[in-house]
Amino acid sequence: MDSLATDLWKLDKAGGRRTLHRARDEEESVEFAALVERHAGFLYRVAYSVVRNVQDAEDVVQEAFLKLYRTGAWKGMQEEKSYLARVAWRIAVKRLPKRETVQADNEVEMLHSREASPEVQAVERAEEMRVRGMIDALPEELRQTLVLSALEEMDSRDVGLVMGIPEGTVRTRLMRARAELRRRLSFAAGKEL
Amino acid sequence: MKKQNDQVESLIDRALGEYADAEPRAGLEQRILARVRTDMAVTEARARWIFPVWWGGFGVAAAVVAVMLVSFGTRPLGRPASVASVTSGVQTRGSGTGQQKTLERLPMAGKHPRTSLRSVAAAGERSSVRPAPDALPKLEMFPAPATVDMFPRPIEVSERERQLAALRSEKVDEALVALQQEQNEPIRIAAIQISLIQMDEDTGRNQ
Repeated sequence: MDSLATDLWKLDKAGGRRTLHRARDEEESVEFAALVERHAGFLYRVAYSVVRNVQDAEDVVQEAFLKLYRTGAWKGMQEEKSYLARVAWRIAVKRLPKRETVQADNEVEMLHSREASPEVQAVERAEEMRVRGMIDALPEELRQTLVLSALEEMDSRDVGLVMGIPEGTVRTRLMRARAELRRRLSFAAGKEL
Repeated sequence: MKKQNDQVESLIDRALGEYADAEPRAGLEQRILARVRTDMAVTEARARWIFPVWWGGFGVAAAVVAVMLVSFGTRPLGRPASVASVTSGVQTRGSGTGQQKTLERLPMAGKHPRTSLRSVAAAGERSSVRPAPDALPKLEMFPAPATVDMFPRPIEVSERERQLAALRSEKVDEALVALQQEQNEPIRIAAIQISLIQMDEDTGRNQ
C-alpha cells in the first residue's frame, strides 16, 4: 500500500499532494468496506437483540458505521469486536424509549432446520414464541444480558465490555434471568395442568 | 426433575436462538457504504461552499478595518494653542522679534481665531510665556521640565463673577452636605394606625 502511494506521488508531482490524498482516501475506503463486510451481520444481531425490530436494527447498524467513519474511530481499534458492539449497543439503547412497547418482529423466520412433522414444528414454534414473550417481558438489564450472551461472537467478558459492567455481574444476571424464566415457565405449566 | 430442567433449558436456548441466528436483509453492507459515501460527499460539498464564504467574510472585515485606519490616520489632530506658543517660543531662541515678524506674515491656518498662528503669536504677547534669552545659558544640570507658568492662564474673571462662583460653590457644598446627612439618617416610617370599624346596630352600616 505504501509503494502504491509513493508511485502515484512520483507520477504527478504537480498535483502530487492531491493525488496522494486521493490514494490514501481510496485505501481507507477499501479498509472501511472490509470492516463493514466483516462485522455488519454481528452488529445487526447486537442491535436486534436490543430493539427487536428488523428496520430499527438496520438503522442502528448504519448509524454506528456512519459515526465510526465520521469520527475516524474505526482506525486503530484495539478490541475491534467489543468496541463495535458497544457502539451499536449504545445507539440501540438510545432508540429504545421511542418504542416503549416493542413487538417482536413477526417477519423473522425461524432459521433452524427441522426434520419433524409440521404439527410438531407448529407446537415447538408456539412454545418458543411463548418463551420469547417471557424473555421480552424480563427486566431490561436481565434481558439484554441474556440475549447478548446468546450471540455466538460474545462471551461473558465481551458482554461486560459492551454493557460496561464487570464480568461477574454478567454471570450473576445470566443466572437470575434463567432462574426467572424457569420460574415463569413452571408457573405457566402448573396453570395449564 | 433433572430431565424437566434440561427440557426447560433447551426451550430457553431455542427461544434465544432467534436472536443468535438473526440475519439482516440482503445488501445491508452495500446500503451502509452507500450512505457513508453520500454523507462524505455532502460534507465535502458543504466545506467547499463554506470555505470561500469564510474567506470573503475575512476580506470584507479586513477592508473595513483598513478604511477605518486610513480615515483615522488622515484626520488632522487639533494642536492646542499652548503647544504652538511653546514651540514658537523654543524656536525663537536667539531670533527674538524676527520670529514674531515671521509669524505675523504667515497666513491664518484656520477660521477659528485661536488656531491661526498670528493670533497665537499675539496671544503669546499677553501670555506668560517667557521670551527666549538671546544667549543660551550654560547649564550644569538637565533643564527643568516645563512649568505651569509656560501655559497660558484662563481668562481673567471679574470680582463680581468671582463672588458669584464662590456663592454657587458654597450653596452646592451645603446641598451636598445636607444630602449626605439625609442618607446617613435612618429612615423613619410613621406607625400605621388602623381605627376600628364601628357598625351601627340598626342599619348594619359602618359609622
